[in-house]
Amino acid sequence: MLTDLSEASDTVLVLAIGRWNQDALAEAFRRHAGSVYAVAQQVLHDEGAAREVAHDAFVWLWHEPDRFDPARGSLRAFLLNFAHSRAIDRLRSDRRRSRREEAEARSSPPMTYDLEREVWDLTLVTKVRDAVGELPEEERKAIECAYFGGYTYRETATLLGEPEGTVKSRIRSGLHRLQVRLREAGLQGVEL
Amino acid sequence: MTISHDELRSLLGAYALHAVEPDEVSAVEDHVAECPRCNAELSEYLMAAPLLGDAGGEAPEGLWDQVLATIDQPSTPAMQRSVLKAARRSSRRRQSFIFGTAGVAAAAAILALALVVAGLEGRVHHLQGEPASEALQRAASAASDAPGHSDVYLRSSSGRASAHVVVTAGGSAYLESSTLPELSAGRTYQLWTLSSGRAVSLGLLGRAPGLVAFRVEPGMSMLMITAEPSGGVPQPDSPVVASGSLFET
Repeated sequence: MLTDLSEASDTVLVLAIGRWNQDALAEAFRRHAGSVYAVAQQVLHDEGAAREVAHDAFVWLWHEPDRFDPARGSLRAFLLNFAHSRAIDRLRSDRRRSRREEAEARSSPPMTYDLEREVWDLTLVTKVRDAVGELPEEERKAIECAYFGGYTYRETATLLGEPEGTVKSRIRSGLHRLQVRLREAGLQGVEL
Repeated sequence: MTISHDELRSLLGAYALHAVEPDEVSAVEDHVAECPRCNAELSEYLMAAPLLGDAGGEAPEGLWDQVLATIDQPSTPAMQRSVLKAARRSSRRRQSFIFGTAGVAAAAAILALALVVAGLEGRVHHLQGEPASEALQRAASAASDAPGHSDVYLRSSSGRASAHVVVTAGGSAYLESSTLPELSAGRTYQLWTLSSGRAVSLGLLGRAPGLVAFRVEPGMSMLMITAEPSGGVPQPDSPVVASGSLFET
């Protein structure tokens, strides 16, 4: 029996969640909920909707812990992937995009997402930011447009005025570069 | 439409960013399931891509209380706490049991089921109480969209579908809709599962079943609904009004 969940690995937490251990879910929430919410908020720009996505992520973890495979990445990456996917679905389905595009058009160009304005207060966050910042600009733009803007690669190609194949290739090469740098920084394959 | 290996491989980065076109998602997923090379490549992307939006920070105030309220809903965890606590001590909670189970999983399933049966002996649970919360509705919707879910249709003796249940690969189940006629006062529908020829109560559905959540555990083979006196009965005392197999969807 676990006596101190705060020292348990994420994998142990998920196993405990699989046995309906609410304290384990609480510890996973304490570790990752802020990041899960942040991902949804950065995509949706809507606090209420981001809150719902974060809520759903942990309810989903409670009901479907078997979907987490530690061999395929950290629990944080697993939860963030869910949050991003759900946020993108919402963005595409509830017409928030049109309102958001109008707001962006009034305030700033769509491709000038300012990473520096975020609160990068964690080592992980700083290293990810550094790794993204080191990407060739064309790769970073393609990735940020798709990830933060919620655009498909075809839409991204249109927005950037590039061929679809070029955008697909830049996303792939950018992600490859990113994962290599994160691995070199010791941030992959470890629990975050 | 057939997509070549190279074309599918070129989509892996976009897929990791949830940026492939909707009609390409299943093609990528099917391909990755069969191509170790692309699977490995996608795994690497999926270790990095989700971190792009990780800005850290604190969770919004009160969010945990909302999560807790959802997972503590009487309609779902009541059974979890009262019945499955015993089962989870001795066996892994989740197995891929719905579409075939063998070996260790089967042994665990038998143990889990035995405990479930013991826990439910002589008891009934109210699956349906207040109108379904938004959270429950979202959970049911997510279950319908989840890969690997199964649709179970409970049919009357005439063969007409009377209720639709969505079961996730993890065993979460949602009775999403039914055409069962509303019962008179003093009556309730009761949900049962069949195991080894024995009916085990899963809970009460009320006079007019709406959205309810419950668990499908290893060893359960069939779902059935009967109409019983309000308060339910430990063993079915009325003809089955609808039934469906968990193995034939």
